[in-house]
Amino acid sequence: MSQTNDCVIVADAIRRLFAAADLPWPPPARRTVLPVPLDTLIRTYNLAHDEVAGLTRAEAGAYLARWGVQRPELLKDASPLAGFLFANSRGGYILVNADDQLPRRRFTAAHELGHYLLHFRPRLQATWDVETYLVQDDSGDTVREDDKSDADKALSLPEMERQANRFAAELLMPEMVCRTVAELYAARFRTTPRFLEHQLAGDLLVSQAAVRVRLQELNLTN
Amino acid sequence: MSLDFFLHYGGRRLRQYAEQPSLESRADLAGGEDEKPSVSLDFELPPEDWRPRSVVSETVDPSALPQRFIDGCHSGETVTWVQDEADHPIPVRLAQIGGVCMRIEGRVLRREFARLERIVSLIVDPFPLHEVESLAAALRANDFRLLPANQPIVAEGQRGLVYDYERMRHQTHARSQYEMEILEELALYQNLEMMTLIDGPLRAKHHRMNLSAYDLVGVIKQHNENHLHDHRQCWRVYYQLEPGQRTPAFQLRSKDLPVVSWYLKLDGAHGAMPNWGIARVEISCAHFERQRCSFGYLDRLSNALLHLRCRQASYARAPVSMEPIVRAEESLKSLLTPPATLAQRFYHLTGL
Repeated sequence: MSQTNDCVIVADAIRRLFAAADLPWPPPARRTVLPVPLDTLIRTYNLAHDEVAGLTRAEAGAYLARWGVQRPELLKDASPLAGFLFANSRGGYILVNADDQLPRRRFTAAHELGHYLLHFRPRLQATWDVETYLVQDDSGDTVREDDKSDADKALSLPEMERQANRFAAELLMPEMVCRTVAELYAARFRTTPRFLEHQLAGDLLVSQAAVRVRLQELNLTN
Repeated sequence: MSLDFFLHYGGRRLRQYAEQPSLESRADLAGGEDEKPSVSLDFELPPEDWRPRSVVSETVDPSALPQRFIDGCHSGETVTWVQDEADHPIPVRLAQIGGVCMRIEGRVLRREFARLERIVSLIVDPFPLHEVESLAAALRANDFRLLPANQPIVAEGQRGLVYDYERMRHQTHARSQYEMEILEELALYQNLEMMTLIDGPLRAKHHRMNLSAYDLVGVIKQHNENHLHDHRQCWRVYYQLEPGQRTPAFQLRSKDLPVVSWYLKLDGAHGAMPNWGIARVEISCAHFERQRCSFGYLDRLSNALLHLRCRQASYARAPVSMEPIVRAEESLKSLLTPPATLAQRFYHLTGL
């Protein structure tokens, strides 16, 4: 799967997400930049989003158990997690580690939403069986996926991770917003890379490192 | 939840107060620690041959006279504090920060560039992300920027919340100060082709910008680093300096921006304290090389700085200040909303 295809797939998923949430996409070009309402977008697809202190696979398993989803194998596993996604055809849960800093939590939540829209939902829609569920958890370099369905996977885990990361970056730092802000400032004065990074990171509630990478991708920094 | 965030988390108004010492002395600024430079005191003369060097001349060499002057401004206070679910104190700083550039045009000093921002800084990490998102949006709608502060460093490579109010408050101050430096850098960046004087060390402005390519002069008023170490003759010369004299130059070597530096006595004769009126000046080594490594250039530059020194007796820091920098500060402050008015507006908006 090429990176160009990734861009098309991600852009389409985000366009449909905003349409479902009845929000404009791309965001209107204006000087005042606001963070993406992530919680609203997550709830659009009947997903619950929660922030759990000390999130581990065991914590995630216990969380699911409270909602009647029994995953005993998770309960024995204390591996720390940054994010966790459970979904079936009725909806699902996105959990993020509450101990992480806010920009990281937002990126993780957006990343899991990306997995749901790009990888889970198409497969769940294909079966439309409430007994089918998918679980994805992410912790740093470790990605694990449990799949109760028999569906063949079209993508490898690294490919899915790459797409989910691209989804999170485009969702939280939309290309149109980055370009508009860069052009607005450039029209008024000579911007420094650090100034642009800090403005966007603060306004979009993402990390400066993430903005730096994004601006480089978009060729908006020298 | 948006601006009622503060009420929801138990926000209450704060009177202005004298800052208290932190329970722990660890300094963890938002921007991280810069690399400490190594010092070569024998750059111009061997330390044992150091003598005060007079730089006074009636005429100013135009090629050694800075044309642009950069300063920053950070005016703010902790207006309220809230508590997270674990009862950590979360101070909220309301501040106005800015960067300004003044430029000499003939005999007139004009404001070339200024940027001012109103910010609300607090540690947002312990709060649910959707509440922080709506708070940021509501503040933006009212012309404030939410500036998330870092959590204090609690162990090597690890940040976390603490119950020490002053340490938490320090984080919001450090974050605002760091953001102000970015605006100073922005002011500097508007025109790098002209010789520019910066209020403070060049090193602090060196963030992925090749400053060595430009003719910049840093004037440092506060001496919080000991570059002369315990070298007796160097300190002797330092204390012997009379107004219009400088120490021999020394080199501060660092990976990012090696500089040539020296101490210059601007004022302070007749019974003043021995360290009164001494500023440290620095230029990049590349700048020095472009002047053919001439120590006479350092004299001419020092003489130009003497002519630019502040002569306002009413200004407390006049003995170590440059008049254009004082004017830059005044120019920027004239753009500020009075702090009490701003605080009242914040209280009105937030219902505190």
